[in-house]
Amino acid sequence: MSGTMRIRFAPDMPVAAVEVLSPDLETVKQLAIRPGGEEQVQVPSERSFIRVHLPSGRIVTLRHDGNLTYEISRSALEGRRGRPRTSTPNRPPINIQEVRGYHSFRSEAKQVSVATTGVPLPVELFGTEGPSTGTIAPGFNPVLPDAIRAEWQPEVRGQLSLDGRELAFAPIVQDRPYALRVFVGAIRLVVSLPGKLDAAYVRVDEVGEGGRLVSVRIATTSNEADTVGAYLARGDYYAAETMASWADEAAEMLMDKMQNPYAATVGAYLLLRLERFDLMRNWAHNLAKWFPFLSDGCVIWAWQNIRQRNNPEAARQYLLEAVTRGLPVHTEGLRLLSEGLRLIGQPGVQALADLNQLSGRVVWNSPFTARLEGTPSTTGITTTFDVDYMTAI
Amino acid sequence: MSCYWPTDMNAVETGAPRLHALIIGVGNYYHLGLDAKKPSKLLSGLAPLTTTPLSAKRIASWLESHCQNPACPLGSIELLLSPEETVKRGDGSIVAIEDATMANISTAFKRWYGRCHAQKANMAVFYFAGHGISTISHFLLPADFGNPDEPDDWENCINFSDMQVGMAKCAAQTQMFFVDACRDAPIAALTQKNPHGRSLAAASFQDKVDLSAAYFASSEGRKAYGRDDEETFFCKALIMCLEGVGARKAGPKWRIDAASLSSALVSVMETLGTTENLPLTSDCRVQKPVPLHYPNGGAVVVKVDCEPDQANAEANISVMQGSNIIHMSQAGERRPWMGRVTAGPTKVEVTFATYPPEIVDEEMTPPTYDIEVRR
Repeated sequence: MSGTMRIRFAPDMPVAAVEVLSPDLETVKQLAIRPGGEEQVQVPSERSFIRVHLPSGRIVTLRHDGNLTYEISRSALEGRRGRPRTSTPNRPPINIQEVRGYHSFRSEAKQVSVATTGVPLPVELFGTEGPSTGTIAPGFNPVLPDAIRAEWQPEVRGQLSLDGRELAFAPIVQDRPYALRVFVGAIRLVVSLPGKLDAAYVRVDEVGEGGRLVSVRIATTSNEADTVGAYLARGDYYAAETMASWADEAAEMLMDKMQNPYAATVGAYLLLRLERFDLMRNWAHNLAKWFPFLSDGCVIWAWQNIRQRNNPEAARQYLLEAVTRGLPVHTEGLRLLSEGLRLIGQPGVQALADLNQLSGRVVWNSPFTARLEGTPSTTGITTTFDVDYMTAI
Repeated sequence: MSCYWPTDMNAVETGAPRLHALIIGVGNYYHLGLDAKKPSKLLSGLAPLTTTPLSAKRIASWLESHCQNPACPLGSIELLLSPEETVKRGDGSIVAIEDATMANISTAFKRWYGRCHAQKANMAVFYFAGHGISTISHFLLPADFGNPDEPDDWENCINFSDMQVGMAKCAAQTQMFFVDACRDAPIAALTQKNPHGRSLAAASFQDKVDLSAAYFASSEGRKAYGRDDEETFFCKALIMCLEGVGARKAGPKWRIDAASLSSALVSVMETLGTTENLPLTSDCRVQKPVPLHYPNGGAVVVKVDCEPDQANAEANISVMQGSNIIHMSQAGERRPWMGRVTAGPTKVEVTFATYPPEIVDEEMTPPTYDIEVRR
């Protein structure tokens, strides 16, 4: 029997895509629900059910209690299979999945901490030494296991927590992007980060047989942008598609000068991928014009000119301009810039060579532009780098 | 000869929409490795691979036997392998497959490009398994990469990034590229040796395609690439996805499209990474939902993992669908456990010697379903 399904998110939920399925597993509808939001969907059968596509990549299947109504909160998901994994309490993580699970667990704890005390960040869970927290001054270089160091550019003040295995840093929020450098022996991992940054975590774990995982987790000041960024990075088109209207709002906020160019950038990458040029209008041009420190805006406007406006000259101009501004903050931008330069003939060849000099060896599966510099030792521990959003659930 | 399918090259249908595939598996490298008679000045420390020819053959065989898309059925498969070998097709006939050298790849590419270019509604599928390196560009290494007799050490190297962009010139509006490259190259080679390679195709702004989707295996290091003498992890994940794990039911039929395949590949690689205890990763971005294949049904990769470790050691796992037992795994077997089931109602029972049991009775839908049992 058909009916109306009601789905409500508690205020503690992140924005997330919900997939409504019929009993024969056909997708009826997919939609985004925000914290505290409610949606109604006509379903063909009372045996219809939902799957929540969490920003972490987990997909949680939920059944209603026979009344076609869902009240979804973090605590409700706590008891579900497929929920974010907590770390094993008696030992540190031993493989990459456990480290990822730990990050998810810690991210959730962090949100509680911010809501209650603001500081410090609870990163001492698996520390090998006593935790030290405090406000750091520019020039302070915290040291992680195996003499791994993290540096921040520009050097800014911020809240630091270091427990011997993990570094958490919440810098001041600014417009200009940051660069995080992690020194691992002779290799450097360099990650471009948005200025509107909430916190960054750098963690070192021994994983597998003789392996080392250096993981970086990033939270920006926009939960919605982080959710969209995570969907894009995981290739989840159908979940990302539900966030198209948010992308439009992010652009409107840009127009209203409530500026978060990084959230607008993520929204623009989403709309480019969805080919929703109707929602892009010409605000990508403003993104390129108003934020000269951000090459992503030029890349987006160039590709809108390629795909929608059919203006090769403008595309060429903005692609070349993007290279002069430096690397895009988002890997999606680097990918599009690289592709675009291959289309513009000789000027593109030189610009691509310049870009190659800047980018070196790219960590392509990072959502934020990340690259490796230096020459590694051919013997000893193999290091894997894992950069991702800090998705709490 | 590199035409794996159909048996008669002249029988390739070019007058109607077809899927045309170019599949390359490079395991033997003439100028790389300790036994190379003429060692390369570049990347000579890279060793031969046993996983890659197996993977290429597996993909070719799957396409030949299983690919179902009424709007764009299989049209042709070009296959190149190194070392060259004689391969049995699905119909039992034998074909001698050419070596995956740069010259042979270049020639096969032209044939493949020509077939793809014949129809706008054609689908171009490219799969490469072998060594690869990536900077701002992705480079794929043919069997004769690094020949020291060539004036340019990078003469026998494919610039995949240029190639993918260049394929925009091809009329085929659906293009899918699977780059299953072993990233085992030292960073110094990438940054100091000015890597470059042949584009094989070139396009301009005027050239546009509806879908140009690339899926990359991005795990670092040889161990994370595949177990010796088995297919690569990415190949295994791709086959699982094509056999229903990457499917979505947006209408009456299960369908695998470029979009559903992306997210499924990411999920399956993560699940494989957990069960293999290796840092397996992939780079599969959001793609448009252009149909690739209509499997007979959906499938789900189920993973069971218990905490604490003692619970994993004690766990007896049984998986049932209806009255059929699909999987049984006794205590002491490999954990976390991973298996595949048909999408639909599934009951998983996990019993222990010293802990209470766990029973999951759920509608399981693609791509993956994780069961975490905590005691």
